[in-house]
Amino acid sequence: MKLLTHNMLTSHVKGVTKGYPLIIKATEVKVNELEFNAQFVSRMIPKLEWSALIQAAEWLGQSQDLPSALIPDYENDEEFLRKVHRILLEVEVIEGCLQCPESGREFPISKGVPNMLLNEGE
Amino acid sequence: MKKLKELESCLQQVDGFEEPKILLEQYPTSPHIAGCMLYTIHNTFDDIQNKLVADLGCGCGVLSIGAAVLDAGLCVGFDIDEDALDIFKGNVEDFELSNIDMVQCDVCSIGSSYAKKFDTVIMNPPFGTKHNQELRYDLPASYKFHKKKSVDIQVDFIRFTPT
Repeated sequence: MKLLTHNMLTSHVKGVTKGYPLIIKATEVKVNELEFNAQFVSRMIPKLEWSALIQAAEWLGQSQDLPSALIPDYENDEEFLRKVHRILLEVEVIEGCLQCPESGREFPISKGVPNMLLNEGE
Repeated sequence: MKKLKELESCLQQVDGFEEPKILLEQYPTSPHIAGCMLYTIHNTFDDIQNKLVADLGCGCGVLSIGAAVLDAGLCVGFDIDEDALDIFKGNVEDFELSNIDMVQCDVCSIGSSYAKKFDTVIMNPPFGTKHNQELRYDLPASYKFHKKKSVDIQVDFIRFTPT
């Protein structure tokens, strides 16, 4: 599971009003190279919940020196974009779970795939 | 990958369902249909390269693989079935693709909240012949395919854009 994907996932447990962001508890993390594309990264940034991304990076011990708030004119800062590229697309959670911040319900991540399926009645 | 034929022959390498589950209405999207569809989306509408793509009801991932091969920025596949996702994962490894991710979930209940973040949504989903569920999405550029089961296989290619 890449952090770009994680940034979009929410908990849909019944009754939960704020199931975001899902807390990452990782037991295995990998970093896989992906070709850097400044234009793509730059376009993804406005779609992100930036604070959730920073939190996710922290949970994985990968926050390095990502700023806690977006810098202005980031589109032209290649160094910054490369850092974002790495955290969004190259860092992957292979094993662990995602926890709903409100209900505590855990969604397992196995072989890189989070399982968001709920049981009947949840 | 400039030619449709190249894309199609590439997609022929994608493994399909080993034992399709009838209740989930699983069937493979043929490399020909997948190729035509993706090629059109890519060449006519420029909706794949460098885009964030969602494949709803991805199954074994033929559409996602195709999108990734056409240089999607990232393609995320969503499916309810673990066995299909395992095959999808095998395909991703065979093709050595790194711009793919996948989530196991029920696309009928994930809501449109995160689908809205995607540039493009592609799907060749179950049509509800088993459960008669309606799939309703309020989405950005979205492609839905209906395969009519008849001797002459015709596919409707429907492109939705936000108004």
